[in-house]
Amino acid sequence: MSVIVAKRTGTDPGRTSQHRVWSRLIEALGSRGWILLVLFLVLLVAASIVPDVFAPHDHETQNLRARLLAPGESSPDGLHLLGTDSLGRDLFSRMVIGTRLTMFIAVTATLIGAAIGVLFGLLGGYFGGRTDRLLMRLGEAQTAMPMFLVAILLLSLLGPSVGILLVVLPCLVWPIFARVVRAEALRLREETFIEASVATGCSTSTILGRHLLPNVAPRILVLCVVEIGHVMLSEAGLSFLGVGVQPPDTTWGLLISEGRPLLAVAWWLTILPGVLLGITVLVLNLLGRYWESRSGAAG
Amino acid sequence: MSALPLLEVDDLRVTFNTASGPVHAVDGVSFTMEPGASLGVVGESGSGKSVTARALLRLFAITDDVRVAGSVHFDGVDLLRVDERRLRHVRGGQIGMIFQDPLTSLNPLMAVGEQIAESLRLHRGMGRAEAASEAVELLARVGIADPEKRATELPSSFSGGMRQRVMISLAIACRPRLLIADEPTTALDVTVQAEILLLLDELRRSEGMALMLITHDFGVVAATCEDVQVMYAGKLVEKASMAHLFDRANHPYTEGLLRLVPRFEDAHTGRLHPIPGQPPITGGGGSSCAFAPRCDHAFDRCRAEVPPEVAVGPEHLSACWLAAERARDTIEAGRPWKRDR
Repeated sequence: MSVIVAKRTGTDPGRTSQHRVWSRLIEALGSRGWILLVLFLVLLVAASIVPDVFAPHDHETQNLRARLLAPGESSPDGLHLLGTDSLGRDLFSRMVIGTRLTMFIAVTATLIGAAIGVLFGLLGGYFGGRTDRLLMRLGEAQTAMPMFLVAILLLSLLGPSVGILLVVLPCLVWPIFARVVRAEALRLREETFIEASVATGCSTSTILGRHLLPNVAPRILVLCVVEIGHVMLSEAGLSFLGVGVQPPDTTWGLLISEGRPLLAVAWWLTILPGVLLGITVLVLNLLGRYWESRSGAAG
Repeated sequence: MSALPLLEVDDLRVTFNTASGPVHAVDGVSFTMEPGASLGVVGESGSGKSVTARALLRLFAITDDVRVAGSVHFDGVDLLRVDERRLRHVRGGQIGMIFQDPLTSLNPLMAVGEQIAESLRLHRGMGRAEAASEAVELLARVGIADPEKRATELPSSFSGGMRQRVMISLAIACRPRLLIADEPTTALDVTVQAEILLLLDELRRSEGMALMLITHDFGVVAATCEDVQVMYAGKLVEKASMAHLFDRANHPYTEGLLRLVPRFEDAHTGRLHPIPGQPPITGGGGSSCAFAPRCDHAFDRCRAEVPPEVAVGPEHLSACWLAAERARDTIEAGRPWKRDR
């Protein structure tokens, strides 16, 4: 969560050194490294579509004789690569199953947030003036509010559900999209080709949709990739606090939460889903920044 | 003078409200254009020539705080007062426009053929396939080789001159009755410039459309336009036929502009003849001749009153006190009009 806080405050003093770390990581990737990153994401997507192919055990089968097995130990059912939980369920299989909901929530929430942010950013940037001020103040108000606390409040009042998560999480990301798209729209509307399309008789919606939007699309895509990671973290945070996804559904965040009381006796239940979450967020960030640096260099 | 002029601009005034007060970019401009005419609008940067052209189509940035007064009758319709829908129909459909910088006036992410087709579908109601093939034909018309292949390419694979050709084909796609070209050759090198001007002239004749060419370069006007008007500080200072103006420029500003064109004969002296001083930033709106501070011939009246437009020859108007007083003298002396400079 500290990652999110640092990100939201924008120009924190650590920004430049943070930036340097990222560019060094991207350098380390070389020209082919991104293929590995994409491969990792492809695996995740595949795991969320056909989890049975990847999961060695049924994720719900309990086996009290095989409780809290450490990673690498075997039960009569076979090898438990990442160990088992307090009910003897295979952790690896549960992580595979959890991928689907984790990915679904993160991707959907990001897309909803992106849609709102892009729309507001385009309108604000293109029209400027009062529209712009209104929309941007809205975004700032949103950013200024501790959305995480609001989310906890909402979820505890209305009862946790995936539906509410998909309302709350987009609120965290849309101002970021709005800011980026607005800045691009501000720049682009001064370009002659926008004036030319007005002179050709295009309607405002055509100009926004066919001329402005495609020109900001690359930035939006990159931002989406990065923000999916952040939303994933936020969802994990909410689930960890018990106001997110509820059992029997599971996500990585929920797995971490479930393992927490047993941290002293079964570290793997908390650490391993945490590592997976961490790696995924890192991969998304790296990939997004890598593409950004490439497109920035290209033109 | 036939029945109805194509374009009739009457007392057009454009005022920008800026942080440092109102700027009268266009200050009472009136002129007419017949169908198929060619009119050059000449003036320095900031003289209001581009703003005049933009005002015809109400092409202002949304963020501009701008007030437009007067009237612009195009084909009998006042473009300053029609609703946005009708205006969109005129833009691109009846009046085409070409811009100064061909490098930025095309959408960098859309194939050029597609951009032309967009306009065709918008104004001529063509289907996708029909518009695409028409776009190829238009590209061929403006002299682009291998148009079928080129239509599918992005603007980045075209040179500056080629992009301006594409822009022209886009502007004439819907057979407009008026083509406004705002410094179409300023960003191009000289040989390409000549080709583009030739193309514009050719298209004007073959399509029978009127051409309004905005430029700061008399050479460009001389090559393409039959009539010319000179703007200074938001006002028209002189109007005449091209040939007439070159021979007998009346307004001191026009004379200054004509002297600015570098000549081979002057090469050995290595001397250019700039007009001293700067044009006023806030445009007109004053109570004197705006050019008086820079004028060699200015006398007291120039600094006290706005000069009227006086006829100094057949279809030749000049807004200068010198001309006005001389015209009065000639009438009083009962002599036929004669120029004695």
